[in-house]
Amino acid sequence: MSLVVKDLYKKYGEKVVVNNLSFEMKEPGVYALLGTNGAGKTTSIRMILNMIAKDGGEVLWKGEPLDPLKVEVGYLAEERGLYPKYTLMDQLLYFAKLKNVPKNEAKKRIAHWSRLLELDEYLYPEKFMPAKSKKKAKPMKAEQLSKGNQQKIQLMSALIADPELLIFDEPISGLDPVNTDLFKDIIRQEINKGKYIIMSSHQMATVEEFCTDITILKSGDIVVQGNLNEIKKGYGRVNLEIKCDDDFSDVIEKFDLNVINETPDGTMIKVKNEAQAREFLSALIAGGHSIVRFELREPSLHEIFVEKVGGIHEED
Amino acid sequence: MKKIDITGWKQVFSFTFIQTVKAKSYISTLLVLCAIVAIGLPVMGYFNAPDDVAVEENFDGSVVVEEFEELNTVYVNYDKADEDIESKFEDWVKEYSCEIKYIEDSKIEEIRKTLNNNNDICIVVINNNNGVYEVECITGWDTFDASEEQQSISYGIADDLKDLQMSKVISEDAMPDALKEVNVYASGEETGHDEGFMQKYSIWIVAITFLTFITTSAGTSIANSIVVEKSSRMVEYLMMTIKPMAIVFGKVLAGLCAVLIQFGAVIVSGVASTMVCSEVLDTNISAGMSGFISGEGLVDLSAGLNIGNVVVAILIILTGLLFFALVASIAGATVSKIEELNEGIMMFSMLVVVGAYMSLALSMSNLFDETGHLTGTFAMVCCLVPLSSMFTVPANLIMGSVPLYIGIASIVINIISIVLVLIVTSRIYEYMLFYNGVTLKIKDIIYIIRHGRVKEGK
Repeated sequence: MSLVVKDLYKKYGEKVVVNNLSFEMKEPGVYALLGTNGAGKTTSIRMILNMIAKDGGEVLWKGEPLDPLKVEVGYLAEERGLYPKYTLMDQLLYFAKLKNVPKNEAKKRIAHWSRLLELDEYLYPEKFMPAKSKKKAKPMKAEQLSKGNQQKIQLMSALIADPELLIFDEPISGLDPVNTDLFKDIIRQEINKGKYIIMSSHQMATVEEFCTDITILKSGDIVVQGNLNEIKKGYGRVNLEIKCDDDFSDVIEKFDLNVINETPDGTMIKVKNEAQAREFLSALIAGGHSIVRFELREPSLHEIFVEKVGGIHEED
Repeated sequence: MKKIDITGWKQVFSFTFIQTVKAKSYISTLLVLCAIVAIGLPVMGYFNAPDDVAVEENFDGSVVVEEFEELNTVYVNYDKADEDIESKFEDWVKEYSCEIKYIEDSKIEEIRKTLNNNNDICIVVINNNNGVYEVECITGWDTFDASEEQQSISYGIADDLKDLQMSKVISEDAMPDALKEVNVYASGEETGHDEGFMQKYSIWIVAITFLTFITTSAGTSIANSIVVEKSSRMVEYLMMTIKPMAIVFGKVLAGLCAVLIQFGAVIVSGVASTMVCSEVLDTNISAGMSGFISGEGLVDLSAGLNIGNVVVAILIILTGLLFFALVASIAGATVSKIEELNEGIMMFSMLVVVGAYMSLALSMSNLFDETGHLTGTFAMVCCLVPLSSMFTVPANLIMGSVPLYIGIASIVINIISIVLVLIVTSRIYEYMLFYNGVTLKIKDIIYIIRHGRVKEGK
């Protein structure tokens, strides 16, 4: 058992912000912490990293209390942090030094990640200058970079010490599709290297892509927890996506079904179970409707999430 | 209280220091300050340079300022010397191994000033006041009794003059009471004491002003760097690898060193330019400079100038600056955005002002005893309280107005205060890390220290 989070508890005044959060990562992979804004995800991460004091619970890494001062942990925070006025290279070398990475080794790793993240233009501007002007190339400062590129630098600083445990808080928020794919590739590489990754994200598709286990928090409480596939199976195949060339609303009315979503690509209908879906299909065929697509599937993580935590908005 | 752990402060220090001194704003400020001092000091010194040439001319080339500090020099009033006195010169030179020099009335005060606060030097001035001789023995301002040797010269000369007077009385049939008019003064001057105080006061004010300037500059710079770190969320990453106390300590020391180097460079540029200008213009600008600061050299400002006092004075300044720098870091930790820094730094500025004003009030109160030492409860408070000790003790140690043991006690108290403030600062820093509310007041800070969290509703 490599990572054990046990009964993590935090309250501010009388308000409980994290209520006995527990989970385990038995083997390398990605664990997702999900929840709406203010559900307690970031507070939980900060408690795991010892940045804020816990009011209860413990975090064990390989059987010992996790102390990021002693164990290498890579962290990509939700709110990105770089010194705006300092050069990128200086900052990365500083992070490496703080993590006890020798300078020469740090330079090699920076060069490696710079190439992978397509940051050479900013970290080694002299390479992109004409031969005569190479000496005039000025090192780039963080403030000169776009938000997405700053995020990449931040990712580099999280990975520079090659830590076994990585914690990503909203890693791909605000990235364009190209950079999102770049980040995803790197996350995949880290998974393949056998890293333990805790990820918090609002982008359910990304979480589904990487995560095996999840916890969904609502106002500090766990509302869903476990293996993602098993959670989905527990819901059953109740999402029916159907597309016909003609109008089939009469059949929907006959079965008294709830239409979740209707787009030119098709209609999403919630059915009670697979048997009802089969009956519905029979009725469509019997009615002579021209069926283009008929797909019965488990609910997506997005749907589970909305169903489980959506109530908070209704309460508000 | 948490255990003090500042592992990793060196990395924070070296990074912060290098980045600070590399910054354009730092370099440009340094250059501007150096230029102002390099140009301003020689100009100021030039206009305040002593008029050496005039002195030499009036004394017929026999007296120069530097030679005033000779023992056993008898100055004879230039305008009122007569053949009778001159007839005695040869005897006095032989008997007292002294030198005889003529002097004008207007220059007597000037000579007197050069002797102030120096117990080893004495001059004897002879005046012929309408045929009545006056012999005055002048010593340092804080010495109310001339030494035996000094008095023996004065009394010996007085005796000779009495004899001379007697012979005149006999020859001119003068009244016997005239004999009493040969007076010997062997005492310090009250006016000299006041002027000496003014000179000490001037030096003290210069020290207070200079240290206030350094403290404010360093404090603002440190508070600014902490706010930048907080507002850019850098601190969240730093705390992954080092403890808040190490971050604070490293940053504070780096900011302090950067400012000290800045001011050190300014002083060096001032001294260098003064020396160069003195050579080039062939004028004693450095004497003029010290005259400007000290008010014409009334007292010996180096009465306490020895290695022990200098080391202690430097340590008091360094520990005092460190203390204020840590207070500034608290100010930085209490705000979340750079635009709120002015509001947050008010508390720090107030404390600097309180410390400087305590010292200023003491400097104006003239609480010196007859030995020239600071005395009284208020003086002791100012010397020992960390807020004011930096502004009070170093200057007075060097001027000999504060004993060494007070300086050492001041350092010890400063170090204890630094440790306490460091613990409090790092605690606030840790708890304020994710705080994004309004600027905290002192009562809020006390609440954090006591409860380990920000008060609800903030």
